[in-house]
Amino acid sequence: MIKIEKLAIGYDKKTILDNLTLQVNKGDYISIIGNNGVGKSTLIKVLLGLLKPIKGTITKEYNQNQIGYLPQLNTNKKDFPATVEEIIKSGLQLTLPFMTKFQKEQIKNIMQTFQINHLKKHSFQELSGGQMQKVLLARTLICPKEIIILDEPTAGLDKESTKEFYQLLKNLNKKKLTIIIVTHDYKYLSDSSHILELKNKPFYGSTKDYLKEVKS
Amino acid sequence: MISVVEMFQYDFIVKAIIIGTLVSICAALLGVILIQKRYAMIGDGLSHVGFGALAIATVLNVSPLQFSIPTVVIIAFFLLRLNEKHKIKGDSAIALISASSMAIGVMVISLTIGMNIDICNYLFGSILAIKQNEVILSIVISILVIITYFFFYNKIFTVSYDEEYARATGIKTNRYHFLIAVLTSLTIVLGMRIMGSLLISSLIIFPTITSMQLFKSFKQVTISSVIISIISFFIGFYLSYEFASPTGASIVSVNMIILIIIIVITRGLKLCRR
Repeated sequence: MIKIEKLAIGYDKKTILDNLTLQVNKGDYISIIGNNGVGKSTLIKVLLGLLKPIKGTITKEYNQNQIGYLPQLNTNKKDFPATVEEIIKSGLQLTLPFMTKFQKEQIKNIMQTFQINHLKKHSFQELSGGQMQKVLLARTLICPKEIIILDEPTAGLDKESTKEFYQLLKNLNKKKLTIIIVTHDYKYLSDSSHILELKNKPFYGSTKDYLKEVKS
Repeated sequence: MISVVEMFQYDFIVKAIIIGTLVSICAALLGVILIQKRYAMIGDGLSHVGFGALAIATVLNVSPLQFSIPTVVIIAFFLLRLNEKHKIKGDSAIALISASSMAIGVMVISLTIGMNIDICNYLFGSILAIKQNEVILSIVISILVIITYFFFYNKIFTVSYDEEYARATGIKTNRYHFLIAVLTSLTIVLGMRIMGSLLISSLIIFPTITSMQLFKSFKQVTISSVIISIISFFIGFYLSYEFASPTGASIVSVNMIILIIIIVITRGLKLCRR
């Protein structure tokens, strides 16, 4: 699905991660971990095409619109007037100013899937952190996606909401959705199929191997 | 009541009302986006650029609209480019361009024709400011702004709400920034004739802030802003006619009073519910 070869990334030509090679296959669930400043979010931005790599290549087998992206919860937009329905609708990427019957159905279905129908007319900013991330995930997945990239989606969420969110990801992964997630929630690493630990010499392998290495 | 009927008997007033209403709609539509993108001051900056351009157009004896529209659009584009490249921070860039344009405008006028009624009208607005030959152009441009906004409504919402998400999903956000800048420039240039360059940005800010006290959805805030903007325009315009006060200042005063009333009522209701 995605082939990363000899990738070097960084800002202003300053390399923060070098010589990364790995392959992401359909249905993989990859957790990206590492200390602050090692390049986790930069790697995500490069994968999304928001930043150019310094060196190396990324070969993708899909279009940009087949990638879903869930950024960190942005609380800066506290006064932006928007309802849950409007936020989810924005995921449809409508070109015309009106919605077709099919698109209205899509909104209804995704809200049912995520069990957020009751929040439809609620102001987005009045929701709890967990509900907000659920809504944003619904926005991301309203159109069919091959892969979803998440950047610390549970930052700032309470324990219960975090648990619920990871359960949601696990269920989506069971339906063969490929997941790449930057996370600090080590408790849920065992949900993932692979781990990419960014450090001086990055580790990439199965979660089983990673956990073995950590124990040893 | 008699003076309202009397007001509509004058051809120039009817034209000013048509253009003023259209500009009020344009400004209210753009208000929500500009405030949320922290671009509210761009409106203010561009109106100063508009003043500079109008001053130069007056001195050169060319059509004010035909000269100021391209000038303000070009400056708006440069302002956004400066913002994107982070060479100069957004608010500093606006302050620099705004003060420079104002200074150029005042210098050009002082050294040539000197301060006169026309220039005062540019600063504070006048119902007489729109020349007959510019009426059709003003109407066409404001209708174009409204149609463009509605056509791109969904994309504009996505880009305004979450730019990083929009970029990640393949939306060319720069194009929409440019579109917003062009629509804002056009609205400002058209509106500053009636409102005055010092007060036109309030037409963008007040109705949206008032509506945000009342509604929580983007669509509701947008519709409410349009309604409040039109009502404020009509009341302000009437007061300006009745008391011969500057149009811009009268409209802003009405907007301000509506905002204060709404804030008092909404805060009062909140306190009562506690």
